[in-house]
Amino acid sequence: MRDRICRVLFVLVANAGLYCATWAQAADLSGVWMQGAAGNQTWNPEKLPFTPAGLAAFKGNLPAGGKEQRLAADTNDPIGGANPPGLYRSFTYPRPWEFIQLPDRVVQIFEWTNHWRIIWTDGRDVPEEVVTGPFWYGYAVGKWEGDTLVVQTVDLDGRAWMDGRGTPISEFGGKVEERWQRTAPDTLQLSITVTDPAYYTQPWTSNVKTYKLQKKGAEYGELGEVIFAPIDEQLFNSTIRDPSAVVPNKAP
Amino acid sequence: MPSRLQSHYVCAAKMRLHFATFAIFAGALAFTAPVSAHHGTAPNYKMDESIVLTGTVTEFRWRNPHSALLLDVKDASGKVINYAIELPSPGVMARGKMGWTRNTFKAGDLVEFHAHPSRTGAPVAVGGCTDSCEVLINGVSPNNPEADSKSATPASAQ
Repeated sequence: MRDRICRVLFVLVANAGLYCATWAQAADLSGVWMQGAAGNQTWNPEKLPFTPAGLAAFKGNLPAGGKEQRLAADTNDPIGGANPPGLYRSFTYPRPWEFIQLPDRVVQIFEWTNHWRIIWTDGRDVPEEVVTGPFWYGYAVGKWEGDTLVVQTVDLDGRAWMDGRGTPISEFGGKVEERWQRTAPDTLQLSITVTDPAYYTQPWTSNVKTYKLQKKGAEYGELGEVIFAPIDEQLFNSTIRDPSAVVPNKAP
Repeated sequence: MPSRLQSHYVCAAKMRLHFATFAIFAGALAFTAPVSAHHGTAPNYKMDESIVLTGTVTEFRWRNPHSALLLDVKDASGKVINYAIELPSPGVMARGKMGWTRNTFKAGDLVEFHAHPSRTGAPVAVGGCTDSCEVLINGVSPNNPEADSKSATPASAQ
């Protein structure tokens, strides 16, 4: 009996030590963060190394504005129908989101459309595929490299644009490495590297996104609710978006 | 202190229509603060023109991610047109310099609203509210005067 108790205690203490060691080396990324409106809202404005399939997907995504000054009703932007923006587009948008750091996972909560995502930091492997995927917000596993949280995200839903420019990622085939670093007490930086042989001939790395800490009591220091409800989106589209975008001489 | 709209626009012409319903200011645009609705409705509007819509509130939609103010505006012939003004989400309007609430506009209020007109000529406009909207309700600005000294609202988007 005593042996059994000792064995249990040994396992508990050993695990607690490992747990504390892992926790101790992690940087604290907690807080509400936001990229300002002046921040770059694309991941990479340069020419990307598209495969033919990737280029077709990119050209098939029709955002509003751009060189063509395409009207909103002429786009096929998924969020125009109140679909989720998806993970990577959420990071390009000037709305606040929160890091909640727990011993075995990091949770990100996005005000913009009220979605959330979990980054598992409990030592699990990055799966090849999750049976319930694909996911608009992916499946993510993270580990600490010094003070940098390195996240591998897989199982992304190919219907979600990576940014408002319509940067595509292939369903299941795309993998994204995120590198999160708190470079100053009020500054968090992120860059991503996209590996997606179906759409890109080689991995490409994004520009660096910079997020500022939104302190409690500041305008954006607390997350609010911003749900895209189809019932509201349909009303908006029928009474405002479409009437403001139907060019009279465009009809045959 | 000049408002953002006053700072950015040089009025070149002003057209006053019957019943003084709306005046159009078309002018050179030095630069415009971005109005980036979440799925890019900005191309739908003439962002280099500003119109002043004067009318009576029929509805104030305080909803995510798009809000809207609907006004009955009389045209030159006296015909009443229901104008829809696209606005940011409540999360943007409630914060910072605007400080608006769902009760900011009530049906029947007389409103004078500076907005950018639709490219199509449809009775739709966008408020162009970045840090604040230029608007008077029954002659009074609803914007939060105490927030003027705060840092600019970082999100113009919805």
